[in-house]
Amino acid sequence: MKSFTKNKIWLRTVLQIFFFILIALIAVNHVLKDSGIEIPLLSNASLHAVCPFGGVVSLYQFAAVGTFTQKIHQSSFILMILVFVLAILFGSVFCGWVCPLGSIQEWVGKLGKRLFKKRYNHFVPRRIDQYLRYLRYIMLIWVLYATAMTGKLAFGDIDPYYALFNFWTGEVAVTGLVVLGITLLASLAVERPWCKYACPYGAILGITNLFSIFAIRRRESSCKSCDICTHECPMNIPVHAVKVVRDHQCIGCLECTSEAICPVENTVIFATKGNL
Amino acid sequence: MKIHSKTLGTIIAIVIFGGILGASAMGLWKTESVRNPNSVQRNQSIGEAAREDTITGDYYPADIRGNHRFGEISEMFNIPLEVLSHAFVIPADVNPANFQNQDFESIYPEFEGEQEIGNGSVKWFVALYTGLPFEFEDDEENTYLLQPAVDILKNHTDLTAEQIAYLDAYTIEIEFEQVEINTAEDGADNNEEETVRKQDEMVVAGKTTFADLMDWGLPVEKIETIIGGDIPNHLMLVYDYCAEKGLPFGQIKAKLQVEVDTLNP
Repeated sequence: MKSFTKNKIWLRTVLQIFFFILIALIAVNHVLKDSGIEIPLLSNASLHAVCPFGGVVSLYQFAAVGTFTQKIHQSSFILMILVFVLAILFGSVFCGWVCPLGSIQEWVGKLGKRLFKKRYNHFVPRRIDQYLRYLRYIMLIWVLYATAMTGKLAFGDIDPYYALFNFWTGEVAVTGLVVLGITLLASLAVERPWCKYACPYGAILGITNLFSIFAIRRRESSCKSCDICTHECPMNIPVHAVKVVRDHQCIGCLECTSEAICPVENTVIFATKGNL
Repeated sequence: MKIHSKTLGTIIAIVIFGGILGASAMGLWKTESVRNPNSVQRNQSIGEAAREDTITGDYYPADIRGNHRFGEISEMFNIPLEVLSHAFVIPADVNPANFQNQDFESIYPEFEGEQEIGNGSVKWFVALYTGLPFEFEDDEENTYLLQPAVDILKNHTDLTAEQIAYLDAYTIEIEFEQVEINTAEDGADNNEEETVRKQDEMVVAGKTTFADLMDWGLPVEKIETIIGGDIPNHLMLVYDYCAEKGLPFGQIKAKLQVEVDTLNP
């Protein structure tokens, strides 16, 4: 049996930092392009061109008239397909391993953990929280509907991801900055508040958790029911109470697994069906 | 099958970057303006106008950068400075020779976003004016020209009907009011002309969709009467519809604009 010492899923942290810096530099390069100074060997694409959600919101228009929504490019479609491939295999790992907005919420949350200790990530009463978790589907439906009706990025003015990497350019709507500010502030008390309650892309990727090939699985025979997996879960999923985590909120971070926090070897694992 | 975090992280990186590399190899990775076939038509139409004897020249419009000054562009491409100044309606208090393309944001804050006047506009104007080949770069899909620039091009160069139609679709029509300002310096009355720009927000252009027209309050029946048929999809560009049906966009646009103007007199 392992001790309760947490092992770091270090590669996840490395990838999160890498993607955050990469997107930040691309955003800077995009602005620098016009002044003739560019960072060599780095794309100067717009932020919309490297966002897979752009592909999702363009689906209707692409199917209906064969064009993309304004500001969306073919690269968004490619990224959307790649992320869906990952999601079918592993669930919404894009959220836990790649998305820079998720990463920054997580990093701000580390400060929140120090501030609020055990109360951190447990402020919202469960009876309310369980319903709030479905708000992001309302957001998803609104975004898809509004974009389909107008042919414009309906989400653009409130998108905290765009605001995060463009706040310094003066091109971000005030609403976007406000949403980003609220998100980061709320991250001090709640882990990944945007992901949990509002992210439309997380909503659609979360659906793949219900049928992804790999999932978090708990071996009941060796489980000591210490509940530490549940306590560690950033998305407050009761891992200790289920055999397979098929929760639409799981971000595949692996922080609950035997590789990270579970004290018993080979008990909480990320595996295919039948592995237990 | 159980998967370790290192394997998962590696697969994520491989799928994303491998997928991008694969898409690039197949010519599918495009972060530029490929939102509709018109972008291709626009590029092709410019390419068609290229004169063979100038293709081997030292300068290309695509090389024009935001920090280039109008004076430099004038020299490089042999375009009179007055032409550039007039085409882009440079204010009287600005020295056009020192005007940099990146300064457009300061004089045209209203022309950003969906209808943008910027470095791409200068590249496009220079390409058409000189007949040099040029293709739009990433994120230049919103590039427009001002009416004076289009007027200059129509008078100066032999544009094809297709090019003229396309220019009409990507023109920002602005009004110029000649305002007389009286100054009393040295006891003399000097009349100074100042150009005031106005942009009508509801302007029918190349990127106008049927949904835009409906948003502005134009009844569907009126639109359908003008285009001579049913609207196939509200998200379709009016320009695309005209191209598909072989209708003259310039005329349709003018008729629609008249109706739009009546909504907001």
